Amino acid sequence: MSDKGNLVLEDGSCYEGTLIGTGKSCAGEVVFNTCMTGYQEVISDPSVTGQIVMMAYPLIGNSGINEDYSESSHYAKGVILNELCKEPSNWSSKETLDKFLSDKGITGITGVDVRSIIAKIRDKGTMRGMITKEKPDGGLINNIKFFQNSISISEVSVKDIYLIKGDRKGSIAVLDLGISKSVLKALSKFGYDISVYPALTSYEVILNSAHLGLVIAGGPENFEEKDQIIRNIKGIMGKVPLFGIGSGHQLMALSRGGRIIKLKYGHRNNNHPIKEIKGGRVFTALQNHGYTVEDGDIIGGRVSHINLNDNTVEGICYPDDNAFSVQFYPEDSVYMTEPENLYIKFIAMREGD
Amino acid sequence: MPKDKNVKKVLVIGSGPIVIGQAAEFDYAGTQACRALKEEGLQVVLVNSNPATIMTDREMTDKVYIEPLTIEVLKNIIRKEKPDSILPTLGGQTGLNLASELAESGFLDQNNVRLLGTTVETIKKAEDRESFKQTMIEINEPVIESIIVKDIKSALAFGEKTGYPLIVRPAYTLGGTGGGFAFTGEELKTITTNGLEASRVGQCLIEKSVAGWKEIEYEVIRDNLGSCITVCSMENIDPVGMHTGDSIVVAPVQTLTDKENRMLRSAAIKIIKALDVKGGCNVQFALNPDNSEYALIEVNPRVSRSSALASKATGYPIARIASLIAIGYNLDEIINKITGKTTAAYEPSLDYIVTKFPRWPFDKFTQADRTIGTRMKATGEIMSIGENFEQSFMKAVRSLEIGKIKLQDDNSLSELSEEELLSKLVPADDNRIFRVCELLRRGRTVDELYNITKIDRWFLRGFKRIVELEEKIIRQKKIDRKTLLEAKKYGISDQAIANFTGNSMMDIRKLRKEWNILPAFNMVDTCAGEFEAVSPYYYTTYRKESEYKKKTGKSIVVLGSGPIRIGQGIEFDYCSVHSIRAIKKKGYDAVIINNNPETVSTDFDTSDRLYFEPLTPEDVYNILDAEEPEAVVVQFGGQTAIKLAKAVTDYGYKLLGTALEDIDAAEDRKLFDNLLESIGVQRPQGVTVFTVSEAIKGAESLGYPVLVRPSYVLGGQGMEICYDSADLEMYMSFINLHEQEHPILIDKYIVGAELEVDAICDGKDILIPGIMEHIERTGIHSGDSIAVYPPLNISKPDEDNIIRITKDIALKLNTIGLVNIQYILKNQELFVIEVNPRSSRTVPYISKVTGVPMVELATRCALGEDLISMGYGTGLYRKAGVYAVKVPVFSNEKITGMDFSLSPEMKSTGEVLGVSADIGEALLKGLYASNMKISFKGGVFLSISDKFKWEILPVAVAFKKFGFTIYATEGTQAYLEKYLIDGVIPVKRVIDAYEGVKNLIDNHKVQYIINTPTKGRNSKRFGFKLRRLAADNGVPCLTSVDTAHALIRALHMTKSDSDLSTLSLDEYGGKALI
Repeated sequence: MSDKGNLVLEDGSCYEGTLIGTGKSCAGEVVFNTCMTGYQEVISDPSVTGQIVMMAYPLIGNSGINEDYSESSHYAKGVILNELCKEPSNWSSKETLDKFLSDKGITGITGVDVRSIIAKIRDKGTMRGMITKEKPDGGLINNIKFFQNSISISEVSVKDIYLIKGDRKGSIAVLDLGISKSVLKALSKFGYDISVYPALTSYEVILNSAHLGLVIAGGPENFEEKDQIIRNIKGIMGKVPLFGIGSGHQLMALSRGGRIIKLKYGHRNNNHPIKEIKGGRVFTALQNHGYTVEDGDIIGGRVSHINLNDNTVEGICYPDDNAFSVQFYPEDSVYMTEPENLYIKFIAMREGD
Repeated sequence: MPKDKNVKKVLVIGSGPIVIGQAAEFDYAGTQACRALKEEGLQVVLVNSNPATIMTDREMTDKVYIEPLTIEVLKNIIRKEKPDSILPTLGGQTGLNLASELAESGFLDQNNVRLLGTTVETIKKAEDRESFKQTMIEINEPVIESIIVKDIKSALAFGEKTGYPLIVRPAYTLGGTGGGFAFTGEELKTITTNGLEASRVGQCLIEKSVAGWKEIEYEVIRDNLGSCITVCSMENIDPVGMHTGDSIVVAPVQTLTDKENRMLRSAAIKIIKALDVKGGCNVQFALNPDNSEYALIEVNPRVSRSSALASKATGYPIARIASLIAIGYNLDEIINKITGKTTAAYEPSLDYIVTKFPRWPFDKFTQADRTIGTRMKATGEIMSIGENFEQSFMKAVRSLEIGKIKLQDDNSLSELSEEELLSKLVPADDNRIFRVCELLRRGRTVDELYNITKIDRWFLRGFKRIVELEEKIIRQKKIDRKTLLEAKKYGISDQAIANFTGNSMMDIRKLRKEWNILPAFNMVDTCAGEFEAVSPYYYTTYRKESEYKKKTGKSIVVLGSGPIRIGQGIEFDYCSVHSIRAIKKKGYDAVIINNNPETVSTDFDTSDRLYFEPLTPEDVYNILDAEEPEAVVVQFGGQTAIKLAKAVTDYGYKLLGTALEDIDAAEDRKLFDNLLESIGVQRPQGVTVFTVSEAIKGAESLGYPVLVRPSYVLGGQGMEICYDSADLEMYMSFINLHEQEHPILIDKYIVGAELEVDAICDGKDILIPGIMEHIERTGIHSGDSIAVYPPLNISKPDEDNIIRITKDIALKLNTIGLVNIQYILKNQELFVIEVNPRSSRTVPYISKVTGVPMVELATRCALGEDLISMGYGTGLYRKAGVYAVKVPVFSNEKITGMDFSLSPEMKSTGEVLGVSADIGEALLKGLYASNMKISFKGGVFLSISDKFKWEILPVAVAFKKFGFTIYATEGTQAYLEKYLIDGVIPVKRVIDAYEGVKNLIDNHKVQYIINTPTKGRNSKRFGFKLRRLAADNGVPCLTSVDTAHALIRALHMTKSDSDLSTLSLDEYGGKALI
């Protein structure tokens, strides 16, 4: 397919390009990601559910698609590319990005000047937008402006509890707020059983199973059932070792009186410097979030990691509760060798009991 | 102040002369390092033997020593300067080796000097084959399996274990003789048998072959706390098997999955941690394209050519950061100057693709072996930036200045058969990529070419898309808007489109403007647009929106000198940088256009605006349209910039300084003859001829010897001296193998002293900072001659004559700025050989020695100032208190099949300086600095052609007096004996004397070879083989009797390098003292 189409932003600006994927109209929050490789992982990260992702790197699709590399079965709504590679070249590639987008119901647009749109978002903040065949008019722009992005967490979480068998005695619980496969893969390296719970599982159910610890990881930041999950976190924190990742980190802070603020255009990259306050070492890690925990009164919590670019909070530890959380994806950080590896830290917390 | 308070005075070691494999990138790195250290308030002492560098400028550091880079010289400088530390990792392999050796000898400990940054242990761990292998095994990183064998049996057992193909490398043989690839056990047996015989020690290294795997590199930086980032990933288009310096490279990686990229990045970081590197490090991997298996190729625990490329590709100044880490900073304490907001603890994110293309010297070295393999042959490189691969690649092609502006080839390649095209893909020659493109044009498939070359299909498809688009335009013979936009997106030049459609370049330009297809300026910002950048580092694309911010002030555009090649080296970057600085000082915005990633001029904070772009009319016009500068500077960027003088003038812009018509007057033989006649100056008489009989007649009228050359040099066939009609006939028959459109020039060859002058002219007065005398007589390219400042053999009247004539010529030519004039002095008579109204390669050398900032003064003249008001006077500047001897350096061991005898054609790649109050010592220091092995006893082998036998007598006498054993060919021996030089041992001929000399060299009986060539072209001749033998064994081989006399003068000093004086620039006397 090589239909012409438009990317229309809520401020009325319009960028002409070629439609790819399903080619159907889609609306959502337009976010940009500066990772140079990993387009497939970015598109299948559950935290982009409902969003239109724009890749800053201009040549996307070069190494094709291999379903095994997807982070989940939840995808971005749309993608915006500078140039799509139609003939990928990598031994592991099974299909083209274009086909993958079509198969997964994702709309895309290519051939637009991504860099200039990023400059706009950088200056004006994240915007809503639409990929469409239609020409922008007042009505369309209004629709974009008032488009609601909120989703139900059930859309991205498992429906039923399931178990990943390990070869060691003991089990770790995972509360799935739209979890990426990498988290489970990192956890499974320790050999324990892993019980994955649906997002809205009540805390009593989890506590009843006597897990070594609980990982709360995700996912989308805007969903309707936040209060319910915060209540569950309140019920569980301090009773079992806790490790929050991504939106799990935000919800833990909220449960302790913290506040969440929206970043101008988010952190969606793998190159920001994150500093661990203790020790002072700096590393980079994969990030994919539009909100951040405000540095302020968080009961029982203190900041453990910050983003050096804008000094926002990247991690909090709750020493009295045997709990800690990070905003970034710790499994990506190749620099976090022991003993700073947070999974090892988490597991050690359990085994120390 | 530095983080580490114990660091107060730092010694920085440079990398010495430009040679193949170690080029301008270390001037760039060293300059950044020195600047960073100075900014931290440290005292910096610099040692480098290469005067053509920015780092050796007075204002860069507190003390500059232009001295030979030997252990003993460094020890003396350390004793004199008493630095507390040494920064070892910025001077290439040379600097690193010297620093390690100083540390290992215990000298540094004894003198309380410590190495900053990466430790000696780390260096050893990374560089020593065995301990590196051991470390990698410990951390479970795959190294390429290898074994050292002494017999066939163990070789076969290894083959059995690891599988084939294997590479056999005999130990201690040069150029890989006797080695090769083995695909079967049978082949392994044969090759190993030969290899064991060829090896002096009867050993072969057998290594698993990963040829054809992807070659992937990472530039990693680690700080004192162990924080670590990868600055840049790079993918070699040419897979493993070709030296990365000779490979076309893109950044970031293009064909890797995220999984592969992360796997290799993790490995790189694990390795740099295991080695405990503090600073920059380059890690090279081989990646199996069929299953993601990988193996480590190499680790360089220092800044390198790749790190210079990575710095320019990302905007991340690796050398600067590495230097700051070395004095105690950590990454998060260093500001990222590009964004002004973020810190050095940040991985650059790119939203463009960078291509690096090597520049090979085969246009000059026509006889050299053009095979590209594991031994690097490129003298320089260029880099280009584009929004997609095709655009980036096509910009790279036109940046190379190899006469290619499109892939469609209208001469050499299009005439070849497919078989011929296929024959040089593996092993490759320098034209491989263009052969591949030509084959794609003829319908060969991507898969077919992948199977042969293993160049990833992704790149091959890119080439194919360009070829197909070119073909489409050729077929249509005209162009529509959509196709034109597509062509520009793919980087196809206006000139190419013009050729395809029968238009002129300006027609296409007009069409583009009509259709609003205009380049956009994008910024290299380290962050893919995430933050607003403050540093004006631009490249062009055909994206929709330009980020160019309309300037406020007046600007002047400086055209850079492009890739480093024979005849156009780092000197011209030195001149460009100084011109930029002078322009800035005068209150203009200085704008540079250049494409060489190894240089200081392309550092983003050298100029007010940097455009990383090809230097062709189209690309320059794009920038002129945006900048609308007051003037354009062409006189400092070598031929690259001068060649653009006409285009710039035609486009309606003013040249700063000497105007186009005056530049032309110096190039045009007739105009120039008239000019000389009008001021009563003579030049060697000459005639132009086409045929052999015309040539003979012409030469006879002039009288032999004569200097012959094609008037329009094609393919690098150059000048030659003919002593008689036989010589001339041979030359003419050779030159007429190719049809000559242009006549051959025959000039009277006047044997005399060659003098060279660089002068600054403001239109009224001139200033000559110094006169240079060449050691070698006329007929040897000035770039390859040893030059002495001040001259040894000219009288006061000669000097006055030179000043007067130089002034006459400069004024008559309406020179504003620099002019370089070469003279022959014979019996008090001066002849002009050449006038170049622009900067020359001797400008940095003379600027440094005399203390006259020549480029600055020339730029100020061009901007309207008078020389008289600048404080340096007019006429000849006062002499310094020292002799400064410039010695050329050749990369002869790198270029096989090449005859390096001195001739009218330039062959050297770099230069060094020897400085002393005594001329003998200055010569000796220059020779030491040029890495010549200096011996004061031993043997010398003489093979002298008849016309020089007389002149060699004093050399032979001197060697005898020094106690050397003299060996000679039978003819030379007989001649020497006739003149009562006895005891000369004749080396007998069987077929020729080659085997005999080889024996002498193998047994270390011969320390010098003096061989004056007869005819250089025939590689089967004794002389040629002898010179190659010397080059391959590192025995000094002098091919001019004049050089031999200079050597004798130097050897009279009988000083080992530890006895040499050491002089900083401040100690030269003259202006330098102010």
